[in-house]
Amino acid sequence: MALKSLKSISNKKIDFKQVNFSVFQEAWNIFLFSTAFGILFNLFYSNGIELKYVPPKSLHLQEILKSTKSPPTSPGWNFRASSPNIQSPFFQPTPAQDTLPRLSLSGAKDRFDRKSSIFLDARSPDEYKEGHIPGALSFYADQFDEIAPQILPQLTDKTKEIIAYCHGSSCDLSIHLAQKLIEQGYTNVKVFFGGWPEWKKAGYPINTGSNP
Amino acid sequence: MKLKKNRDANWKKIIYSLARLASGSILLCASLDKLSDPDKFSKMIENYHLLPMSLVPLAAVVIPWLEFFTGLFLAVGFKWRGASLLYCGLMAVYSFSLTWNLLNGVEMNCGCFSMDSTEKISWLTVGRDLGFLVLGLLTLFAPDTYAAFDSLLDRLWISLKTSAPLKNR
Repeated sequence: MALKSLKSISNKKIDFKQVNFSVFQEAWNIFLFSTAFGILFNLFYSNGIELKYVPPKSLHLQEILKSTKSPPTSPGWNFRASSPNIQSPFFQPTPAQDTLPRLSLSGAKDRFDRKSSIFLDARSPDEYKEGHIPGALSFYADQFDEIAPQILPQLTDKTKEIIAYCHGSSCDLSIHLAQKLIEQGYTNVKVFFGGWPEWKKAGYPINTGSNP
Repeated sequence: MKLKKNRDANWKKIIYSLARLASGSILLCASLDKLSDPDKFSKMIENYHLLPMSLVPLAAVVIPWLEFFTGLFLAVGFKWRGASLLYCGLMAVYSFSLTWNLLNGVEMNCGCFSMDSTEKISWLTVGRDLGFLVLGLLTLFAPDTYAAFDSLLDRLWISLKTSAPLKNR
C-alpha cells in the first residue's frame, strides 16, 4: 500500500533496484559502528549502565519487616481514597509512578479470560469481601509488610505478569503495591487503572467474600 | 517540453531531499534525550516487554546511538541510502512494538521523543510512526537527492582521479 502510494508520488520514477547489496552492507556497517560506539561510550560515561542485566534488589522479607515499619494509622484518619465515593485530592501521579505500564479494561479482561496473569486487589480486606475480580488475591497495599509474608510465597515466578488494581484513577493503592512488588524483584508488574469501578460497570464476573 | 520535464525532475529531487532531511532530523531529535540517560531508557524498553531481560541493557546503550548516527548520516547525506534502510527498520520495529502493546491493552508512556513526557501510546502514535516510515521509504527509493555529502565525495573522487579542477566538472 505504502509502496503503491510512493510509486504514484514519484510518477514511476522510483527505481527499486537502487536498494542493492551495497545498501544492506552500508546499513550493516552503520549498525556495527553505532553498536561499538555506544558500548565504548557507555564504558566511559558517568551515567553508564551495567551491560549485564541485574534484577532489582530483592530484600529478604524479615529485613523489610525490620527496616520499613509503616506509620501507625488512626482509625477514621486515612487520607487515601479507601472507598469508591471518596476522591483523593492529594494524589498526583509523579513521573516515577507514571512509568508503570497500565492496562486498559479490555487488556485486563483479556488476561482474565486467558488466566495468564495474577490479579492483586490492593484495596482493604473489607472492600475485597464486598466484591472483587474472581481469582484476585487480597493484598492491601497499606499493610504491605504484614501481608507480604502470606502472599509473596505464592508468587514464586518473578517474571509472571502481575496486575494490581484498586478503586480506579482516584486511588493510588495499586501504584504503591506495584512499586513495592518491583522493589521485591518482580519484573512484569502492571496496573489496571480503571480498577474495580470500571470492571463492575462493564458487567464482568465478580466474586464476593474472602475467598479469591 | 524538455524544460518542463527538467523542472519536474528538479521538484522531485527537492521533495526527496526534504524527506531525507526530515527523517534524519526526526531521528536525531528522538535520540538526544535517550543518549543522556541509558538507565531510564532501559526501564522504558523493559515496559514494552518485547526483548528478553538479558538484552535490555545492551539495547538501551545501543539504540540511542544507532538513532543518533542514522539520523546524522541521513541529515548530512553520508551513506544516506544505507541509513534510510536502517531508519525504515527502526520505524517498522517501533510501529510493531506500539501496535503489539496496544492490542494487548497496555497503556504506558511512549518515550518516543522525550522520556519525561507523559505522552501515552495510542493509535495516533502508531499512525505517526507509520507516517515516518513512509518518509523513510521515500528516501530509500529516491533516485537522487540534493545537498548530500556522498555526492560531494563522489565529485571529489572523480576530480582527483582525472586530476581536473573541481569547478570545471
